[in-house]
Amino acid sequence: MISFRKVKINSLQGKTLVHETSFEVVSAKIVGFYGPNGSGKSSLLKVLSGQVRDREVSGENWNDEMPIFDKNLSAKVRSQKILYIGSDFQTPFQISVRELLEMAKEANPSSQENISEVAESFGITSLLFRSFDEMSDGEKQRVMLARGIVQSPKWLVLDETFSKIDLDHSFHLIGELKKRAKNGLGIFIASHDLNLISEMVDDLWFIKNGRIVVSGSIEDVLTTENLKQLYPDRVVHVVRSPDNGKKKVIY
Amino acid sequence: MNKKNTTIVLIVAILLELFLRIDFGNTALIITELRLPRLILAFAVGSALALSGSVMQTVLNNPLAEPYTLGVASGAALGAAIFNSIGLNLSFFGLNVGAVVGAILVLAALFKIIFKTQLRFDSVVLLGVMLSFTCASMLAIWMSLADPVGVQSITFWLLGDLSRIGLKSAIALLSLSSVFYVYFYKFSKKLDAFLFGESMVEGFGVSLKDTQRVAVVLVSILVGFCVSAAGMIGFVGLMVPHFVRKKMGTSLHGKILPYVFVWGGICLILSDAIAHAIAFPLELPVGAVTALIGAPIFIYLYIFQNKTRGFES
Repeated sequence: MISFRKVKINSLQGKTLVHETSFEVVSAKIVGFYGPNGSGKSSLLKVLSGQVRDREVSGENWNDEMPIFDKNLSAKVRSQKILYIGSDFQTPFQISVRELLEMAKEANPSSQENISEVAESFGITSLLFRSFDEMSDGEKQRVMLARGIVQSPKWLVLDETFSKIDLDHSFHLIGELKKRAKNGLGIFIASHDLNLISEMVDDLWFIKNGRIVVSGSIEDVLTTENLKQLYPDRVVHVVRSPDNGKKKVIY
Repeated sequence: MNKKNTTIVLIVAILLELFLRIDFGNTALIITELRLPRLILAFAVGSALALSGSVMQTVLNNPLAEPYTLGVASGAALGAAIFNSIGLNLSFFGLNVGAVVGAILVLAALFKIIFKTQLRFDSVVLLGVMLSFTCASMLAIWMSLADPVGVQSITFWLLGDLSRIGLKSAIALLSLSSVFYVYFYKFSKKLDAFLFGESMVEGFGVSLKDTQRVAVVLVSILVGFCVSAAGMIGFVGLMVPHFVRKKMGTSLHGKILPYVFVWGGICLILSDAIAHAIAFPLELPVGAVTALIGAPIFIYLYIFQNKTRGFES
């Protein structure tokens, strides 16, 4: 269970990024974050996973019995509980994908995942011996998703990690993530592609101006009226996919 | 790059350093009294600088970081000059304590600023370059005000000089360098976590602040002693880690650090052999040789051995 109690996030310059927020996520599920640029999605997700370095953060963040904000909590223990993965990966250093996955595996000794199997199911076997710094942005994101699975935390936080992955791979990877979620992995995912995340999320939260404005199951939240709250000037329709009945937006 | 060719090159370098341009009158004496201490010192300083450069590049995630671009070396030089001028010649196995103090002060200042303002890593090297300029100009002012004899002795030292230290001090420095190597080697996994940038360090279960602190303190101590023993020898710390990473195709510290250590030593031994042989009986400052030979080789390697990267992006 994640319990966020009266958490406030300011930038170091004192600007409010996220207003006082409290929420609970009782059991592992897939939660989607959606909202305009600069609404505080990333701040919320980073702080949720314990990255408080370049922000001023107050309040409490409990993950099961673990106080995520506690300075004495080791990075190792925290990363086994909740792991943040962003969208932009740059490194000036050469290192192969396989070596990266081995690092991930070593970061969590209790991980039961097998590198070759995860690579196979995530479709990155052919990338294993490529150097990470030489790959395309989309390939890097696919590799980092696999890395998150290899490291096997309780919660995985994906901050627009799908932003450059092609349609085919996206759907395949969503399938893989959903399998893991069935086995107890909790996922937070921020994305600007509602039609993509509607394929996977249980809950959907709308974030605007540093506040969670709506939250609940995707069936309840994804409506034309709620979207109007986020983007008042935009005409957006919510329809159902003829294939699987999931909610989709057209605009 | 493997054990075999590294060993061969090391042996060739050692032989060159010991026997090149030797006066056959009193060979034994020259070798034991002059060449051997230089050989050991060259290996110790070269390996220590390469190790330091490698660690700095990693923990700051910047390929340009090394003791010199971060101002550590200038700080050491300034410290040594000031301590010398005010007659405070504290020594530790013949090594200058002033230099160590200067090096640590500069890095401490640098990291105080980083941790206080939480600057991004990218800005750190820029800040280091500024600190380096500040120290260099303070040194220049100090030298123009100090007595000319002292200045002349320090000028050569500033350009790098491996000939002033006795066997005992050279061995002391080699032990220091080796101990630090062993420590950093054991530290490999933590350093690896820095390879993907600052935002991902903690995701690999490694504390960013603690690791950076330990690395910075150790590197400044090591560089301080190097500068005090051999003056300012640039470039080894920048070039050797890149060279090794490129040749091995990986940046994992458990794999590269042994080669960084040995090749750092080889690099400086060869440079010193060239420095004392090429204009015999005159001697060139070894610091000038490392950069003069190293820079073109580095540019060549970077451009021509780097077909997949370098020109794109």
